[in-house]
Amino acid sequence: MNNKLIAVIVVVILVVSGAVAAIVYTQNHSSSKQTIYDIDGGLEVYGNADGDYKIDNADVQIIKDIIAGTKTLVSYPYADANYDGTVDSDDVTLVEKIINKESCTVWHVNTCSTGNYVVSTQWPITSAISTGSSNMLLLLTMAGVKDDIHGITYTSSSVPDATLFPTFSKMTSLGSSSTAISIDAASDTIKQYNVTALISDYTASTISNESEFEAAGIDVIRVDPAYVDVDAYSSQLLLIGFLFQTETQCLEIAQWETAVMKQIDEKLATVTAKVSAITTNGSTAKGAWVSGGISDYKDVITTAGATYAIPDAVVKGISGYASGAYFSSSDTWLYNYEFDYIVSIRTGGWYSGMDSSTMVQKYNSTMEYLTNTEAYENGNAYVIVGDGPIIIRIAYAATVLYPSLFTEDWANQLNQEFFEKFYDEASGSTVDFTNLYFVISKAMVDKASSA
Amino acid sequence: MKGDHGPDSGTALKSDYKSYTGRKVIFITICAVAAVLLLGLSIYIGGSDLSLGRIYELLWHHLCGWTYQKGTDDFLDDFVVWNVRLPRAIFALVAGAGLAVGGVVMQSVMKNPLADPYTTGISSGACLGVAVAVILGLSFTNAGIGSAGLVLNAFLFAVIPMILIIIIAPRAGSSTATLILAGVAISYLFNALTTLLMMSTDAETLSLVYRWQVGSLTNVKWSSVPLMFFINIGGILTVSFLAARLNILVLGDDSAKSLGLNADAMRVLCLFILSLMVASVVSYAGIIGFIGLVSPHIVRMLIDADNRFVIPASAAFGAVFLLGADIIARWLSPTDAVPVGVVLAFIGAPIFLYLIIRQKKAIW
Repeated sequence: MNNKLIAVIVVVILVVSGAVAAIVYTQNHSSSKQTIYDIDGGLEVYGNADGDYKIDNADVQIIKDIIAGTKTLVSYPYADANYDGTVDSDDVTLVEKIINKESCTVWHVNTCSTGNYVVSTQWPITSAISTGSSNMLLLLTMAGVKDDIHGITYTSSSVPDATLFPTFSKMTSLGSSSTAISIDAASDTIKQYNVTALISDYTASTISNESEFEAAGIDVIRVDPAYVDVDAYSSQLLLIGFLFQTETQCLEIAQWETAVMKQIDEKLATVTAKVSAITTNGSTAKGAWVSGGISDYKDVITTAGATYAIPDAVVKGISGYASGAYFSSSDTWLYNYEFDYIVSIRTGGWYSGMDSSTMVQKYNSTMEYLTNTEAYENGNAYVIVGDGPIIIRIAYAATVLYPSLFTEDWANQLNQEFFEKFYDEASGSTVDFTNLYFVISKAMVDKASSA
Repeated sequence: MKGDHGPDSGTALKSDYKSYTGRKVIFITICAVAAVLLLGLSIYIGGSDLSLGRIYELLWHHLCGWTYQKGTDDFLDDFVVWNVRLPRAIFALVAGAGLAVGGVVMQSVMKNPLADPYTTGISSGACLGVAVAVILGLSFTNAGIGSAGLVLNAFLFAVIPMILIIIIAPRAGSSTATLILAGVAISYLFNALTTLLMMSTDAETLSLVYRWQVGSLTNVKWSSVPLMFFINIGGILTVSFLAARLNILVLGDDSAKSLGLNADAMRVLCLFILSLMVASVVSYAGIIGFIGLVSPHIVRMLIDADNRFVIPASAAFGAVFLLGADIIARWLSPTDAVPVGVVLAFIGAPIFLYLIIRQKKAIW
């Protein structure tokens, strides 16, 4: 009897031990697996032979295959890591250096409005200056590189929002506008912080003295921080993450945004009849600036599922500008087009909180020249947040255009989730979402005005 | 009794003349020295905190062939002084001299104290030439930014208002204001054409052309200097050589003819030279006004109206004026927020108003 009992106990101990060992082994094995990120955007750095979101041994293998003749450079244009026109052992060496995180010169694509081009950059970047548009500062903060940016440039009338950019808002501007930096004015900052790079907006007229900076040994990196297409935006984010070695953060954001966009696209696929809309970004004495053509504001609206009511050629024909046209009180051209919604995207103060008088003023000033449109009269004129990440703007636009599919609560949750997961820690301050709102409707304004 | 033309009075006259001429030479010398001193000050002013000693040490080392490793503080300091501040200062010096001499020439040729390349629309014409080349891509050669082709385009379009001025001038009669009003009208016309072109273009080109309309030395580099330098120095030397004939031209066409000078040919030649000088400045720095108007008048108030002295004196004074305005602009804003054209307007406009109101013919 005792022998049987002992045997049973031994078996139980063995089984339990085996189970525990299996569980521990499985967990360890899982944690040693590389995370796979479900994103479509690619890292536009030479050496990333397979064009995915990272440079790794798979790229080394492709380069070796090209050298061996089993693959071609034409099929893998990013395999030429040192951008010298040939694929050889030097490319293998360079990619291995990148994988081993050794300092080297990397070649990558600069996004530019007059045509993308390839540049070399000393890698990794540990200290930089930047142009100071809101979208750029958002990109850099999200990418987790704000502490590596030691100088920005902005106009006195567009000081960075202190809630969103607590670090940047305290910096003295290196230039007189958000698009120009004088190397003379920046040189003290460059010397003090050993700056090796300048992050610039993709517009060619921004940092028109790019060659001067390059000659002075400062690499100029151009990105488009306002891409509405989530894959294209991911590419820009991945590039910044790669250059500053904050890849993991950037990959997580890219994956999150891709997932949100897929969610939006899936719901929009069920729409049988698209609504039509226009967007504006405020009014001046010249009138309401109605976006169109190449405007990224227009892209937000169409990505959120609407048909844009004004053809691109019309906008340019009216104003001569490719991104929009003014509509003043004496104009009538806008009345030739039918649109169900006006969704105006405005920046300024959304994450700091707005009192009701500011809310009313923001709405009324935006809609000043649009009150005779059917959309306004039908109560379908909205002002939505333009401060936050572009995916959040798309989400709020979707809630306005298709309220039966997307609720404001859903968009608010996304907004808060984004900040809690990716932004608060990166920016160094926490945004309190209590009492914040990101859509202003005519009904809200009427209620506030009558109160 | 000895008459006024005796030997003693002749000696006294010679002595007076020498002292009279000497004062002019002294004035020119003072202006030239001031221009050099301002040049030295100009490379000290800027956003980077470099001491005067450090700047001249860097300059000396650069001239002695020293080089520095890229990425070091020495490299950056040398770059800022040699590649950013020095070309800008030299450009301002030569451009200021050229524009001032352009004003002397215009005023002498047109016999109008308010004439200069800016008030007669020649600068606006040159700016339109730049806009046509940059926006429409239409030029007589490969007119990229900063190229000789761009200067040629600017020159050819500057000739148009020049021809209009030549046609209008005889019809303006004795009224100095009439010619200037015509010049203002021509300026408006060409500025309107430039604006029309700007409206049809994209944002990048728009911002580029806008800088030319305002007048700024911000983007001047070494590549901007050689062509402008040779055209303006050559133009100043040529006009200096023609100074005596300009004096004759001022007397009027009939007097000029009687003294054997072909007034029309002289006028056209001078205006061509002037248009080329203006075009070379506008192509790199945009419209810079008031120098050609104000400098000759101030000089004439001090040393009278003999062009043999007014031309070199105006050249030196114009250099001082533009350099000084650029120093003020950079002192006000180390980030180059204030274009030099704005500072010149603040200084020049009140003086221009004063000249219009007073119209001192005594200085002619």
